[in-house]
Amino acid sequence: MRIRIDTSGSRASVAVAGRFDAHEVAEFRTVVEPLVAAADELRLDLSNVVFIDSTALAELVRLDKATRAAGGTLVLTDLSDPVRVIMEITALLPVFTVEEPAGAGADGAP
Amino acid sequence: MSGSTPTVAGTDRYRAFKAWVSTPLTEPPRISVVIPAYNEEWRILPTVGAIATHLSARGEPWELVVADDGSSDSTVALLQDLRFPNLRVLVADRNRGKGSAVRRGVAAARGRYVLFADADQSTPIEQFDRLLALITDEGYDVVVGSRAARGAAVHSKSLLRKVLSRGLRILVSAGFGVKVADTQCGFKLFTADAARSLFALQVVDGFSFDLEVLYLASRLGLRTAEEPVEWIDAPGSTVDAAKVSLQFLADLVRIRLHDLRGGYRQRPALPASEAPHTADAAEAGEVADAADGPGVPAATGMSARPVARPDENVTTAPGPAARRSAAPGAAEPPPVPPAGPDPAPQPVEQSTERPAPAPAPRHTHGPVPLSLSREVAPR
Repeated sequence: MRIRIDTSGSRASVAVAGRFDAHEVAEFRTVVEPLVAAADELRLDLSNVVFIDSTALAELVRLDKATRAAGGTLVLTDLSDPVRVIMEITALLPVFTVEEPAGAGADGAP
Repeated sequence: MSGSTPTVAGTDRYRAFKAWVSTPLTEPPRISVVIPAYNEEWRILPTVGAIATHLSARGEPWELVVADDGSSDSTVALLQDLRFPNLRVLVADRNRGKGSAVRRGVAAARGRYVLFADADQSTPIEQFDRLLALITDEGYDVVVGSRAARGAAVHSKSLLRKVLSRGLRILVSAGFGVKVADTQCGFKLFTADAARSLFALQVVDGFSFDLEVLYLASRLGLRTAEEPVEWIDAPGSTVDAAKVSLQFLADLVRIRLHDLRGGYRQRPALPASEAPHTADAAEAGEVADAADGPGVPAATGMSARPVARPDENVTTAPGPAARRSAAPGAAEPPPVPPAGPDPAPQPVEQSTERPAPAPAPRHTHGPVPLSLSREVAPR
């Protein structure tokens, strides 16, 4: 898995690529956790994630709560198709703030 | 059609998935994916999502069959709640083993090609296309995903499992003449004829069914290829490697004795009163039809028997007519916050990426009718 971080003022953008699973969660948390308190808006780009497992989903829920507790916002951007489908069938999609790419259809499909 | 070129690409994959979950197939599926599942409530939905996204994007009719193995957790309920019209859940009344679950799944499968895939997505589904191409383009009957073939990429496998796997490979090769280096990878593709012939004969209910199936494939003279795959050990496995290995050794003896006693030549009758029962009359017919499977090549001296065994009580999830047309989880995303200006980024990159499997020679195994020690040379 690759993690790329861009910071700009009070906004931090994190792009994750590859397979986001239980093996990668510890690394993800180490990299992202310092941003929770430092950024008002934490944007997570999942456009290049090919698979996300239950442990990683749970980590995203935890991160969302931690960000809110710190007074910030977690925004998921550009969900890849597998991530969108997995979040949909696990009924987790409504839990998150998701930013659709420009031109998204009425059904939320890109 | 080539097996390697999906016809829907990019973000249209999502629309293809939505069509698959809302519209029952109007023609027989080309591909059946069979997933055995025992207490997989933590892992099954992401796996279904990944498989459904990829297979739907291929743009051809396909079905998903999940063969429960007597799960005591919420695996079955989670799957049934999806109400996907092209997903069937075969519910077992008790735990009998992975071999039993796969056998029931294969019996119910209607596709021309049948993929058996583990429930943990440890072998990413994207590799299916390469396996299918070997059947459609090169005429193989069985293609085995392999973690041992040159070019495979194996991640996070424990040292104990590596040592046990290597030892068992040596035993399997020496004792059974099965030249497939990785008999146990949970990612195997069969033609429908091959699948039904093999699973009509195999008797092992536990984890060793893979070995038995490949042993029978060799005996039946089926063309078998071994394709290197990327494999990632899925945490949370309930498998005790040492215990399973001991069971594997016991099954080796059992398979050999069964063969010596002519067990693989028998064709036991399946009394109608003991046939598997289903919750859906139409699907009961499907199971019975599948159990009739094609015969085994006469030259082998082997016989096929009905795929579903008399003691395997099976029920299926409610039929498509009783299902809603959309997934309950298909909720609209929340409102989208506007994107603000984004000043020049300051990239910081961290990588723990795993290397992709390098191209490598494929291990092939040609017909070996009635011979346990002869292998046809690679292509």
